[in-house]
Amino acid sequence: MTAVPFLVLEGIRKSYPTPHGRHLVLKGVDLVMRAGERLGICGLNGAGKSTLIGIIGGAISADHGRIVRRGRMSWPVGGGGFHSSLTGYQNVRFIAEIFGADVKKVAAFAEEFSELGKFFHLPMRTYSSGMKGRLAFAVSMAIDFDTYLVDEGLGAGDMRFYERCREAIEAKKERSNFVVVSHSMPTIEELCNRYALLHNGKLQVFEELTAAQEAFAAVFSTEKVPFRNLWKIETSGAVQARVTGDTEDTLDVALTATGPGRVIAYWGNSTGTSARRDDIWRAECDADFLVGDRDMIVSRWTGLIAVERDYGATSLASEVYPRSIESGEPMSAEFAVAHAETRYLHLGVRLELGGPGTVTFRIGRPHLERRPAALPDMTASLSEVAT
Amino acid sequence: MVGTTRRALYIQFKVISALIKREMNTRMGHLSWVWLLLEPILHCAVLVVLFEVLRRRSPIPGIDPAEFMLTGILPMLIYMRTANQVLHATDSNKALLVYLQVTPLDFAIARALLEMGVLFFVCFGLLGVKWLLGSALEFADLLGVILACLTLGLMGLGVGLAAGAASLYVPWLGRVIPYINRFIYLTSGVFFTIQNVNGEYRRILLWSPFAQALEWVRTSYFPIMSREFLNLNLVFLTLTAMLCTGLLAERATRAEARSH
Repeated sequence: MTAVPFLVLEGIRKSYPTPHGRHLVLKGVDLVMRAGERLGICGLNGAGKSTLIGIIGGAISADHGRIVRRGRMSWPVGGGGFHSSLTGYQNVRFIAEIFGADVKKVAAFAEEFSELGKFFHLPMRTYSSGMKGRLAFAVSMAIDFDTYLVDEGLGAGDMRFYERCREAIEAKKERSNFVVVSHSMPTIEELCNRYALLHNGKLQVFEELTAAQEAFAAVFSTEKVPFRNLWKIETSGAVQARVTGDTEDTLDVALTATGPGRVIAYWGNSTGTSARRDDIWRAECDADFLVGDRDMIVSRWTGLIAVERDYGATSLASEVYPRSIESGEPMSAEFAVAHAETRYLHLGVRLELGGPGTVTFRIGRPHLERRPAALPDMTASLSEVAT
Repeated sequence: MVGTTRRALYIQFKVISALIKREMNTRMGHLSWVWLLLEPILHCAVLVVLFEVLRRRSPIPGIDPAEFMLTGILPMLIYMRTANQVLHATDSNKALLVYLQVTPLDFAIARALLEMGVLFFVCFGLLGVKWLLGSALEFADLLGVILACLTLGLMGLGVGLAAGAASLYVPWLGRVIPYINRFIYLTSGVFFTIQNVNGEYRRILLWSPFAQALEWVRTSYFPIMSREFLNLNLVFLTLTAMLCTGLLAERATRAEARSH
């Protein structure tokens, strides 16, 4: 189908001032999109994905280049564009009004879809970033656009919410186009039918998934991100070990535990960004899992069972519930943690042991298939503290 | 083409009305709307009382000194508050620029309308009080009063737009302009009028568009005031220049406002 393009970018350049001079983020990006396309733009952290989708949506002005937009296009839906002292409802009303949509309908849909409960009528400063992302996506889906721009919003929620997003996109794909930006290739594989890699200020577009996957893997394996972290294991209380550190890269965490009882691994961060779906997309696990008594979110990619849990106002963390450990039987789980938004991340493991046992953390980088030299295996033996 | 323009105007109308509602929500949540109305009234009350204590004589014989003051303070507040609010309109609403159809001009118009609305409300409220107290409401030219106040508000819009655009490049302007506005407020004839100052100072005031605008308000309000010094051409010329500068500056810096 050779439809009229609804979006044309020609030679888009964009730089930002830094203390060391201007930093060129986009070095001439060209793109033509036609009806029926769902483009997924993938790139490393800081590659300029959000800048690019901001320029596409008009939220950010480019330094040079030409943009042609046709049809109704959404704003870059991420979680911005809200006023923190207004309630979710008041913000939704504002958005519905400026897009000339039916306020009642949009609000009803957004309230239902975002599942914010009583928070919908509370000021948005009480929201976590995951909740903002959920609301933003919900509002955008409530309004009819020819093209939806989605900026990482899908990762902001939990697994179940992601499923609902996917279904919503599925339902709209006949009539609408999508531009999805994510640092998670699996998200893009699943939602899109055209793929692009943003790397070194250039956008490379692929029609074939395999070509995109190869290019993306090549970029990721050459990525050099310094590990500036200091990992430490804290043991506090009778049955708790925690590893904290900061990183901007993806880490492998291998967990081995022995002893009767149950091991709970969790991750989150201390700066208010929720753990994202991407946090565990690479997870692989060779253990069965015991389902906790909380709401379950089952990850289809890995079989991990994660429970999203709100750690107070500042942090959201996901938990993985491995199965019960029978006495003396070793078990291990591996998962990877990637954090785009924050530098500070905590990984933790909580042992609920029925007797003496040990837990081992191995931290490494999956893309390089080797561990940084500076990062030794960390083993916390809890045998002395667990009773 | 007509359809496109009409559509654009419709969208802008939608955006501005949504912005006004939103601004009212943030500024008038709970009981803060009481403060919004009370603040200019208290401002007037303090100055009027001070004026009464310091000098009891009216600048113009036959005019109630308090009324003379109020016809200076309120119109100047319309200018000053509009200018200062519009100046920071883009700063405080930056997050909304993610929506393509929302522009800094919409923020400015929304704020100016809201600010003028509040102060007009206060003015009419005070007139209502005067009427309830048993005084007759007599004007030389009521329409003139309203137009003059509107002119001061639009001057505020123009100045605020231009200063807001300039402060994108020179951020400290955003902090300095309110002081300049306060200076203008104090020297443009809130406590006096062109008619009762002498010599050099009168010559300067004759060329002040703000003093002339106030003169317009007062000569339209008080039937007994003479119009011999009023220069409406100066007022209109300045208004046109300020609005044009403001609008052009906003248009020229629109991309810059979205560049971060």
